Amino acid sequence: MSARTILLCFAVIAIGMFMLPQTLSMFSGQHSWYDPKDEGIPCEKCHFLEMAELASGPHSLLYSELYNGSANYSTQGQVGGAAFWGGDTTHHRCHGCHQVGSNVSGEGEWDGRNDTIHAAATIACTDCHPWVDEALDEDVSAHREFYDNLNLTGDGRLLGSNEACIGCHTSSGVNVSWTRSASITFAADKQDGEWQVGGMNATGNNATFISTGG
Amino acid sequence: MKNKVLLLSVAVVAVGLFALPSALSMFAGQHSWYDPKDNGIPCAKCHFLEREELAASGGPHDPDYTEILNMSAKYNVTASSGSAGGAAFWGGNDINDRCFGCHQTAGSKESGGSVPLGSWADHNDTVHAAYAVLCIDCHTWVDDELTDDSAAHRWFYEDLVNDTGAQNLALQNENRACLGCHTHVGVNLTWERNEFVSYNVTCDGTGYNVEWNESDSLGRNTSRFNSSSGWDW
Repeated sequence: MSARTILLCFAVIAIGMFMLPQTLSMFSGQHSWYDPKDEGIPCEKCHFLEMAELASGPHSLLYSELYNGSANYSTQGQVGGAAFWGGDTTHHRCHGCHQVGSNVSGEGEWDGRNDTIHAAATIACTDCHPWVDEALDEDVSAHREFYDNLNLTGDGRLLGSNEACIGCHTSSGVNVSWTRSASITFAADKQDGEWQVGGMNATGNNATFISTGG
Repeated sequence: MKNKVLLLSVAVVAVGLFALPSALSMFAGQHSWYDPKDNGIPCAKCHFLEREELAASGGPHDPDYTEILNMSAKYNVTASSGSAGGAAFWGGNDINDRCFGCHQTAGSKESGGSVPLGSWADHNDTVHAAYAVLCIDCHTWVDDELTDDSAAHRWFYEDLVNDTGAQNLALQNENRACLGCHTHVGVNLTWERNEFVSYNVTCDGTGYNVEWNESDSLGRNTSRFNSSSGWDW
């Protein structure tokens, strides 16, 4: 074999080393798919932080105190556990919440929507805790304005009233800029021996900013 | 005279030793062609890795998988939309048929797809052997689903589709989101999240006004990194 032929062989192999990989799939495992049925997509592969957070408190696997008596996943008022969430792993909690039908917006069960939304829906807390919406909207509810105002606005990511729920019920930190009136003003006058008190007003601003870690 | 003939013969043989190999084909089998019709090119000859993955995963696209079937894709003119999988759908029962079933399908994504519309028969003179397909070429409905306002993965999908920072990556933008969740490809992920929710609350004596404070920086939590082999799950 001539030196030219050997050189040609090397050239072909060298070119092949650059060209052939481009016709191969880019990642190992790229042609091996998870079976999506029975919640087969492993959420925790990416959502490892959420999985760690779900280790304690309500919605965790170990929590056995308060139960959702109103949500209607399968049977209304199930007392937690696999029958309620669809399985015994944290992974099932992901699907239990993010594939539940929205009963606030009236869009129906997940089976009726899984052709509309892929994999997971951004849910409102009140989808599963619907009584809270009415309870917070009561005239004597101290958090009525907090809830109602935030329920009307959105940051484009958090859904519905979630902006209010997260501050109180989760370990997220809270920044609050409080602007309150500095003084109460009212006019009091004693005419004909009787005290007459005019309408009360609030004046001045007292701004305070607090930042509380979760 | 005899010596001259002998010397000439030796010279001819010596020259032949160098010249003849160059006149022969370089590789054994080089002049024996596969019949390309009926999926006759054996993809697994080079793509043994993909073949093993398709055969061993037990998941969708595996020849033995019979659970969830693609009810919308229309791969070719003979298989009707919603065919119940198997040979009628893929064009054959072998893994090799799966290769062609995906990489010779015509694109059905109407905008932005890398694969043109129409059947493979319309395009096999344009693109040789195989397309670099988009997952949504066959799973067309997913694009609409993932861009729905209520889809939790909307930003994940849209940002990767619109990512112009790594166009030279040999992977179509539309597929980048699909691989992480749906295949056994490992995932390296860095999360950096807001530390605080933030509210503006004002009380003017007549009532409270509460606003979601979008101007606050919300703080940044420490970046958290995790590397996950796709075969762990």
